[in-house]
Amino acid sequence: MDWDTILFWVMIAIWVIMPAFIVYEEIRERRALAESEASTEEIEAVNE
Amino acid sequence: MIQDIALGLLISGVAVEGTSRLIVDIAMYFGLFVIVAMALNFQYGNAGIPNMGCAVQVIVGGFTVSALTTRLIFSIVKSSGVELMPWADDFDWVYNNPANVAMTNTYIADKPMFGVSMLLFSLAVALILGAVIGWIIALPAIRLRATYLMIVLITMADASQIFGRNVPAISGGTLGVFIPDIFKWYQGDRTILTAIIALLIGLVSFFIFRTMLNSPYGRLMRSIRENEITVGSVGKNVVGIRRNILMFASGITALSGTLLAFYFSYVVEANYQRAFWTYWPWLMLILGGPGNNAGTFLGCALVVAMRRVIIVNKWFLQAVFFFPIAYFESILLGVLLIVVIMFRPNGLIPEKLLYIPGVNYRKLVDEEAVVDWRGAPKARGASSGISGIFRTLGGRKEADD
Repeated sequence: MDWDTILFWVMIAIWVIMPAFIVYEEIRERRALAESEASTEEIEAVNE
Repeated sequence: MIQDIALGLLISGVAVEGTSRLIVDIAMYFGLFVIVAMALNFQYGNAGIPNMGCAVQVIVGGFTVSALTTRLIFSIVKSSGVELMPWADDFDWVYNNPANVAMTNTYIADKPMFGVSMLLFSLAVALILGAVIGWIIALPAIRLRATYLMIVLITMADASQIFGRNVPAISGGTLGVFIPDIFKWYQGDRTILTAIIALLIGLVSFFIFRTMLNSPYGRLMRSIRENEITVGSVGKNVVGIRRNILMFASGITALSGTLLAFYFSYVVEANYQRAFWTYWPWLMLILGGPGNNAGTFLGCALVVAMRRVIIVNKWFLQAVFFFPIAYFESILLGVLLIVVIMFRPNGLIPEKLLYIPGVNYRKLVDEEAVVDWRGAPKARGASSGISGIFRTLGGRKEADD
């Protein structure tokens, strides 16, 4: 394998990893947001 | 087409030819547009600054390479003993440029560190000059309301291109200038290297923007977007914050112009058209969803892939359409913008609420303001409201009060 081929696959890997990571981050943030809302509502329900 | 791309992936041993060439091209433009669109998302999606002058910042990146880096490289190469042709005046700068670049490329061929250092120098200078141009743009325009700000920035984008066209010392005027191939030391295809660098810078930019948006400063930006008068009333310098945002995003945007110059090894002002570097990023942003990095990425991926596939298959598409295919991209841009704004104004991935630990932001936003109006009729008098007017005109005595 020549360098072009190796770099081509490195490029594809970065190209795949980048959106995958961003989607993962997005899902994690949305989940944290939902959990935070749920826990706050629970605390408020207990206080009331 | 999909089969071709898959085949290109499988037989990539043939390096960058045919379909692999298309894949590298899509990756490169994806990296460039991700940088621009994320910076635009930072400005418009989060701070509400409608920057219609992205092309100015991108062109600054390109001009950095043509006007500064190329001259610096020529000076270094000449000082090391290579007999370059003169390049001081405009005529020599343009017409001796190909010969000088050819000699410079021979010099760089066995000096990888020199090439890499010039790349880093270009990126650093583009970052600084991009921020400076952001500050210059902000001087007359940042106090303006959104509509006027957009008009001023569009004008500035055109002005920057006119400068490039008419001042040969910057980028060779209408002929353009070749720039030294700083990846000449690499025996293979340099476009793969530039694509990798563009994607990596896009990824790093994502981390930087994400960190800033999740910080208190990011919340301040969103509050300015929602209501700048309120933010100003609590003592924040709204104009200063907007200027800082514009400067920072301009610096990042300029990097894509620099990378584009290295990708082509050539700079001409026509490569930095307003429609290309302003309206397409806007479409990506609106399509994906403003205020949301994941949406920006999705919008970029869809639009870049669509454009490149259209460009590559223009000959086939020409048989289908009754109008010249050259107009198809522009028509598509306009139609997509209208359709998205009409039917999906929040984009494919709508903006999510802020995550502030310990604060139920959704409840704050969704909270219904329950106001007890039972005392209101007394306070406002019996004549208030439509029924009150009829009562007053009819001279009826209020029984229910």
